[in-house]
Amino acid sequence: MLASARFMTSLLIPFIVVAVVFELVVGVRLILLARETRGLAERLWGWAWLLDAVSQGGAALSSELLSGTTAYVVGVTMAGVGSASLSFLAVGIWQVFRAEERWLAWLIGAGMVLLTVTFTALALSGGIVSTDGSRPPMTWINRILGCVLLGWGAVECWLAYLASAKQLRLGLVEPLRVVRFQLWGASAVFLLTFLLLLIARDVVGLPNTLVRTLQPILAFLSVLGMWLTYFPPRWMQRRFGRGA
Amino acid sequence: MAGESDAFEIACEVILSRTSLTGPQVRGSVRLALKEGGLRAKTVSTRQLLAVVERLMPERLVAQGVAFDEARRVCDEVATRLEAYTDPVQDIGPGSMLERLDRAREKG
Repeated sequence: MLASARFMTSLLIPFIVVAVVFELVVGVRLILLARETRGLAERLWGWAWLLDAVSQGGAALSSELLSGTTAYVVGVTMAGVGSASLSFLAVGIWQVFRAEERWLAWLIGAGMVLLTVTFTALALSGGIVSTDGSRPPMTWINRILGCVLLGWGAVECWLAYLASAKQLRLGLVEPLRVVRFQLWGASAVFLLTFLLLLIARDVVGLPNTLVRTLQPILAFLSVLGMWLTYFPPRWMQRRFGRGA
Repeated sequence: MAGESDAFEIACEVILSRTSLTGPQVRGSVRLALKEGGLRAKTVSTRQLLAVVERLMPERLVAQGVAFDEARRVCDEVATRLEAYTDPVQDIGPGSMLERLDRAREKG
């Protein structure tokens, strides 16, 4: 049973590697395109995905390959990178979907200050990385914050999808725009489920084999959704028409 | 009311001056038409509002008791005012980032 679970997990490793590399490429490509567009939103989303890929990949590698002080230092660094990614994501969601709501900027700013203070306090008290296999406080903070932000992002994507479907009837957008918001929403839901599975495993004891089997698939589907949303290939453009 | 787009304010101003509807009735009607078109008063652009005024607004005004012919005339006048206005703000909102990315990809 254990051997078959390990075999299953090893089969899924390529999915994890591809998802992390893919996410890294999405992030870098968005940042490079943002240099041309001069748009803040794409820059923020680019950094969010780039830092998330570094954080996820770095944490996975350090837990497998490193030990002792080096593992601790890399662990703290990766947790910090993960928190930075969440901050970029929060501002990115605000910029794309609710830029006209100034009060949200204050709320996000306050949240970022609180996150920085909490991170610093936990770093000083050893609450970022655990050495006994338990989940340290910072892991929970990043997970819960991630769920809140991805949940918000998913709701905004689906609202944008519904709005664009109405705009399509007025001839203001083309079908491709509607499909892209659908993909963006699906991508956010996959990522949210990814995080919720981790929480369910640690809180209600969801079988680790199930979580480790589903996670790479969800990560892969999520990044695929991102790619198709930001950089729709020619066949998608032909099938659904270019965004108006 | 501060915070709504220029296009929204222009449409409300014209409808208010050409019908017997009250300010809240006018703003409410325009908001409902925008919602029906998947748009928001704070971010709607001239181009987007023109489509709403042409396709959805007459029906909204009729629902408020304005005669059909009068509603059509008022909407034509709103459209004329909007067309004459140079909106400093282009389409904003969730789709603008995707549009910018598409343009940059085409150039590259």
